[in-house]
Amino acid sequence: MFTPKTGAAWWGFVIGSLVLSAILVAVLQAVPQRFRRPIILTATFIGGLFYALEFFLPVAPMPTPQDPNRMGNFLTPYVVPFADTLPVIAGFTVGLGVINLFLLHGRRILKGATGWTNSLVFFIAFFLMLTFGILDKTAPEGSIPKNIYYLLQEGAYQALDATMFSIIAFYIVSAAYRAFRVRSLEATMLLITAMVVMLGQITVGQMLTNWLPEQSESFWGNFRVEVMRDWILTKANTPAVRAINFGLGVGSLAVALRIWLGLERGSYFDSQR
Amino acid sequence: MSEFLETHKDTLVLWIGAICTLGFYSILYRENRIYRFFEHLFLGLAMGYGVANVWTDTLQPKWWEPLVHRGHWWLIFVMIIGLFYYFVYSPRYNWLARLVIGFFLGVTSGRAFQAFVNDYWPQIPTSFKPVIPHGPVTTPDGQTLPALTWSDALNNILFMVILLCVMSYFFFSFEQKHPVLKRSAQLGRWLMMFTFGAIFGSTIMGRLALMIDRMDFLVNDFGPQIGGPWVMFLVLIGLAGLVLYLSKRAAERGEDTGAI
Amino acid sequence: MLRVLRFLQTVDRRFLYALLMLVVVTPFFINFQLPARVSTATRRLYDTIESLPEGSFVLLGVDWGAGTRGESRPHTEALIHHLMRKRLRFALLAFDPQGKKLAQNIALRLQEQYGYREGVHWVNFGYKVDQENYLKAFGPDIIGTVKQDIHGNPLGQLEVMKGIKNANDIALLLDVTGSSTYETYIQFLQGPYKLKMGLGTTSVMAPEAFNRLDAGQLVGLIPGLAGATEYERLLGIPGKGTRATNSSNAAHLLVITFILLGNLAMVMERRLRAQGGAL
Repeated sequence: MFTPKTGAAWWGFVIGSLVLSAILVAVLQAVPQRFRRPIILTATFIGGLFYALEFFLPVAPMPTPQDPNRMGNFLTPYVVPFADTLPVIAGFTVGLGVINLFLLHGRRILKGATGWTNSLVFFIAFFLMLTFGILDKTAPEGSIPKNIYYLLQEGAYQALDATMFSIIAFYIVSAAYRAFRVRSLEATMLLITAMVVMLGQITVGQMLTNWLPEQSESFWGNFRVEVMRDWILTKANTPAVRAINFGLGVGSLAVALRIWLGLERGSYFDSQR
Repeated sequence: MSEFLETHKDTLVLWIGAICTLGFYSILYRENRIYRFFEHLFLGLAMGYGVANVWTDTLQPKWWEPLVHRGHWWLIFVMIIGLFYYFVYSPRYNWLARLVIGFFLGVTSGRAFQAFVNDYWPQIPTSFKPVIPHGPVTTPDGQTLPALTWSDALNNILFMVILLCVMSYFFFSFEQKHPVLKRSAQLGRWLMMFTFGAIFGSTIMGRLALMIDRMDFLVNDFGPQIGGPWVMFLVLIGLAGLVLYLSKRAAERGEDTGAI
Repeated sequence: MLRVLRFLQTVDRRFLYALLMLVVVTPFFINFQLPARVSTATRRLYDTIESLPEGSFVLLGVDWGAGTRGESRPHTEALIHHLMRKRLRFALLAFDPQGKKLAQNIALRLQEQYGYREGVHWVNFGYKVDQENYLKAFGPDIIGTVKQDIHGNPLGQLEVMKGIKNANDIALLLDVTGSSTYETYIQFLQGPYKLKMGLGTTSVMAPEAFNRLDAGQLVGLIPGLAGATEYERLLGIPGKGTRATNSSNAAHLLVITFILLGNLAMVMERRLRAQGGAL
């Protein structure tokens, strides 16, 4: 049944699939309210079961043309088709954000609210980029779509994106100057560490302690600013990051388990609508 | 049109880029219409770019192409599942969206075990570090381990102390009443300042790098379009002077103190 | 005196902005540069690439956009320079929509210099969504998952992919990123296939990445702009990173000066107030 079709057969199967999907939606919609939550929890559990079992079940040699040394269990052959399909489904969700923005800016234009011209700019920019972005893939070199896309992407989009993030530099300098005050022991430690890291990562900072011997030659080499920076990053910062990471990892695993087993409570799982 | 674009596209890109950059930077003075215009332009372009790329790089080759040109009719169901997400906007059919979202949450949860093992397990054995200095050692399988100096050993001890102290700070499952645990948690909080300081120092560099890149574009890439980098430099100084003058006037009128 | 000290703690933000712009732009006109000292993390990545035999296949993740271009572009440029100089085959793979185009431009610009050809020596897999699931499929079957390059050419027919079937055929995995994509690479590609992995990360994320270096999950890393400058020095090719060094120096000194001034003024003001004087 799941073989490629052409011509009328293809149309038949496509239309049949659509009809079947519509029936499925109608059947699902007819499910009484009290059964909906258990169905969602079951779908969640089944969704998680595949990867979990595939990972936990014992493996044996299972060679393929792509990988003669492959090890796996009975679920392993389905990993590629399963994992390959999910990004496509995720691709279809791209419209969710678009709809939200369309509703927001569409309403503003229709009501003629303050800033409606900006909303119009949003729509024009969106459709221009979308159209020429799609045309760019197949348009020949030197064609109008290719060049317009070049202007939109390289000229406007990249410049705006890069500038948006670069503005933070101004804010962070101002914020650092205003907020970085030695008001407590913690703040002082933070300030000293930040200063050493900042000096150690710039060449002029490294020059300040250039007069000290190399680290390999003398004990005093440990006080070169770039050596201190390296020490902070690799010896003092690393274990602290790792400890935070362990907490994060265990926490996120616990949350994953709660979601998978349907133990999580809250508006999403408990909603009755 | 086609010929004009082909001949002048590089010049146009520089001009568009410079105008967009300066337009966005106008926020540094204060909230204004020019900034709002470019903000919405950016939003539209970013959204359009994202959607176009999802089509050209994912949906077109992996869904449209096999569905339409290779007869893989069953891919219609993939679209149907994807479209279930859109029921989120319908109060009546909303639960169908939650059904598919629940499935994907499950997939993410099931995948979390592998993610955890590959991500965190290698970090556990490498946290146990040698603390007794020794010379070079040859293991039974012929590998030569380098010597461990006194300073290495000291650093390793410090590594483990920091790790344990910071971990103890995150023991929230019970009240930290024991004096040893209490102290180590407090020490852990102080030691975390090394990390936050390092992150802050690095963040400064990161943000400055982005700004340097933009200034490099304005002065060295776009500058030659208006007579050279020096001319753009003078233009920037002029703009900065104008902003300072306007700010001073606003401050005199009590409209803006410029403190934040 | 108190007024001066108060002023030093409350300088107008726009005055700071103007000063910052000035100290960043002025060094563009100065040609002299201080040499950067190369850190162990950067050198380890350089040495790893140096040790790869000619023709080895490298997967280069380009998960960055214009938002982190100031740091990620010099990383990508330096790494592509190095890969081409070492005559290694490589593939670009982006989980950021801008990454594929930005990296493509860099590779196209550099390929002539090294006699490289797209499709023969390197390939662009393009932009992909859902990194976790994508990598789950990518690892066991690269050709079947990627299917075609960004121009729509079937991947299996490209010369660059000769002998490359699954992740075990990847000699080195590199990721240049401004986000946490490298963690997902560790979870679903580096970890399961025990791949050597290198990282070019933004300064903001570098402190976290050092943890992975210590754990052996990374063989080396290029931390931010400083790392880019160091890598360019190792290559002997001054690029964007080196060009930004003077501006970075000046801007850092400005930040440090103002933080110190603010603190000094605060401490002095406290002392004066404690003495009860408004001198």
